[in-house]
Amino acid sequence: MAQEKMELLKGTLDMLILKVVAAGPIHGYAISQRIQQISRDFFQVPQGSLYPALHRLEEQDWLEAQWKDTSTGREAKFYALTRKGRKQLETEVSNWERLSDAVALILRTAE
Amino acid sequence: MRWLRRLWQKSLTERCLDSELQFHLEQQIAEYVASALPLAEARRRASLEFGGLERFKEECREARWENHLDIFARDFRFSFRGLLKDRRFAFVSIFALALGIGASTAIFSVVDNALFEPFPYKDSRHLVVIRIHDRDSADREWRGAFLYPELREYMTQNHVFDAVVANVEDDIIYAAGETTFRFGGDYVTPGTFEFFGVPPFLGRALQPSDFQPGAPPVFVLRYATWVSQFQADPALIGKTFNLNGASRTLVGIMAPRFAWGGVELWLPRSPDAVDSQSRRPFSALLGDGCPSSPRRLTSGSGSRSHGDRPTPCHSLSRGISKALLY
Repeated sequence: MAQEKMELLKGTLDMLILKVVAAGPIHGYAISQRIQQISRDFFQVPQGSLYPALHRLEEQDWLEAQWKDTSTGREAKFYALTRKGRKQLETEVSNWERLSDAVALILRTAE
Repeated sequence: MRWLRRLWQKSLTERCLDSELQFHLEQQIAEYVASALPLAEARRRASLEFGGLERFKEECREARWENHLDIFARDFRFSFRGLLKDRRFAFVSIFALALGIGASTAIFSVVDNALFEPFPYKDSRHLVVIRIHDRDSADREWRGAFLYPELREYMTQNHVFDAVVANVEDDIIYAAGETTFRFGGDYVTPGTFEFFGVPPFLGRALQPSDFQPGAPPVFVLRYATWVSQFQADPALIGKTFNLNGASRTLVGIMAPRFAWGGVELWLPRSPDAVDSQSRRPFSALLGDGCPSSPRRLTSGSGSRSHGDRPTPCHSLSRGISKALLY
């Protein structure tokens, strides 16, 4: 833990979860690992945010859950993207791109 | 319908949440063990990182819809237990609530009836009742009931008011098979229902033809009586009733608030049909008068009113706009 980790920005966690789940059914622990890994340990997802977010997304029908055996034989709750969730992910990604483009534009030009 | 299923299977949902979080914890421990930490230390660190399990569970539950229902039920039980615990407090609060609701309702209905809609009649603020007394007499007595000849003079010689109607109250005996019922009835003069301008609730009100000599005998019934005595049976319209020994057909039920004279049924009677020897006095109601320049009621009106104190119309109508004549 030499590298300083950063808590996720508010509102981006949902999008990152949807994006990770879009790759295929995955359980909660693996989602937090994936986000941490892909961001090269930059982001950490506290369980206290992850599980409420997962349940909220499931409640909104963006995720659907199923209990399945893991490779170790233990049963775990796997989340998968619904059709509605996929649409939501597309919206959030395009919003995010517009936002970050705009921020970058200002940083580059407003000198 | 997933939420409905979850509502019934709450314990199942709880167990699922438990094992989901438990799984996460185990995975974390396994990871630490794999990175060469002793098992006890791995467990300690994973638990520390995880924090309060109950808090997470609560947050997860909050994401669910049925949680609100649950909280409501708990709040309800809690307040109910609180009331049971302190009976005196419960009694006082229930009493205060009941009193408050009752008082507001009473005040509102009084205000509604007295101010907003005092009477359901057309131009009810312009209805006037008159009474007479003999100015030359030392006696201060007055009266508002008129014998038929007096009434006829008011009706024919009236120049001030648009219309004059009158009624005679009488007991009406309704014979139904072996049983008889007594109702308060009013014999009303032609034009009474046009005068009040209240449409009937069912059927029709009395109309001019009902007052013609030889017209089939009819009557109309008060709404409250229809409901309380006749179970609000709409099939009654057109039925024949034996009233005071003669058959009369019920032609209409008046609107709920129509209660002219405070009686239960209304029957037609033309003043001309009245036996002029009858000693039973009429009450008269004069309507929609008040010309812009107040005139004295006595000017040019009937001889019977000689000796009346001349009273400007506006002072007559003010304050007693809805009082009925005695």
